[in-house]
Amino acid sequence: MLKDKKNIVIALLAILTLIKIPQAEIRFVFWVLSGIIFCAGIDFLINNIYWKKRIFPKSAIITGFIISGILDYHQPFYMLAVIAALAILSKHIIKYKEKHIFNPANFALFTASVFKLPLTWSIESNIYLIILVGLYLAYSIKKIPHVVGFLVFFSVFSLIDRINPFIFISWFFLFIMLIEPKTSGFGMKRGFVFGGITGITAFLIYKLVPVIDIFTGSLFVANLANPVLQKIRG
Amino acid sequence: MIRLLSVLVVLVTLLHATYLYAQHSHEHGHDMGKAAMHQKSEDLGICPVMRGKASKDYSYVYEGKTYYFCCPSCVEEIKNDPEKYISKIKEVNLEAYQFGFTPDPIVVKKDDIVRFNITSRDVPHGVYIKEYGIDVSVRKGETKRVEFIADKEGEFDILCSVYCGSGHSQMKGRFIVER
Repeated sequence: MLKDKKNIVIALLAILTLIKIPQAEIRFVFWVLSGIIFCAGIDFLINNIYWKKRIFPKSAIITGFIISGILDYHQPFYMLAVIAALAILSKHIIKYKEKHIFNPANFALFTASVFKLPLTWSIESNIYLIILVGLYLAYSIKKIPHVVGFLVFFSVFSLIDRINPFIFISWFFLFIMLIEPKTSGFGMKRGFVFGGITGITAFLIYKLVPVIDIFTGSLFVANLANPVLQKIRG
Repeated sequence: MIRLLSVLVVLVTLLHATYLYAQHSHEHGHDMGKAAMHQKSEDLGICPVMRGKASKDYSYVYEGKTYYFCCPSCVEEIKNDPEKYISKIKEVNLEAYQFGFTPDPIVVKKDDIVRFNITSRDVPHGVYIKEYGIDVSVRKGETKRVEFIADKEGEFDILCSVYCGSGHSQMKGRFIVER
């Protein structure tokens, strides 16, 4: 069961949600459950009706957890449904060479951030657990170069600007969202460059347009650049 | 595929429409007394008498401080009893830091005119009060001013809407509007 890394991610997200519950209101529980149901339901329907495929929507469940865990849970439920639909539709529509370009959850959350919906990152409830499991995940799916690339560039630029980068890095973003397998590319060099682009963009957003969420904004740009990065060797 | 694309377009349009609607109600906030009025450099806040948009043409100096009004009759009105109106203005220097707000809680009376002078002690933060339509981001070294009428009674959460570090999700303050 643990061979499939998606199961580990789902378990981690469920634990992070459970840790958050005592600090949050009961609405948070319904919010996360709704996010999962919206994403999994829409994905299941699209796969069945349009692609005639019967797939258990594990990726969509992860997307649901991430969207509902990051978007402010005081927003109306219809907004969560819209954001969930955006995420899943982006996966099925915005494609390059038959592969989706954007991390679905990130695409939807970036759009939400552009439209001034607050991202409160409630799911980031225990950074030690995130770092521990995240390191294992990044290592096992060969995404360490992505993490290193982000940390190097984000840290160097921040330190030049006399800011301690570690006081506001999102470990959830780094170890769960950045290393999403299908949209971040593979390979040592490509991974490092992908992480580097994300790190530099995050810093630029931080300095120039802090109204936009720095992490979802930077990953959106890196996802956009990813098809070009695939031309790099190794 | 075309159907799916149409749905995507509809969703983005819906999101955009919601955003425009929120902006529209925000811009007319001072007329309706509901959404917050984010002060731009040319804005002079809310008239303490009629509660409309204040103008630089109508001002009155009281105890060394200049107050702005919407019309000449409001200036005359305040001259008669300045305390009656000025006591209804609650100015709060609201500082955001990792991971909280100070002062906390902020307590005002219903129908007070609330002025937040928002600053950040460290990294960029956001001040978000859903029920009052306030969402302002602020960086260290700058001051953002927000003015609104506290017309809803109750206890409201002040949240940070800009990711500011590992304690971001716990960053919360309280805004209490008493009867």
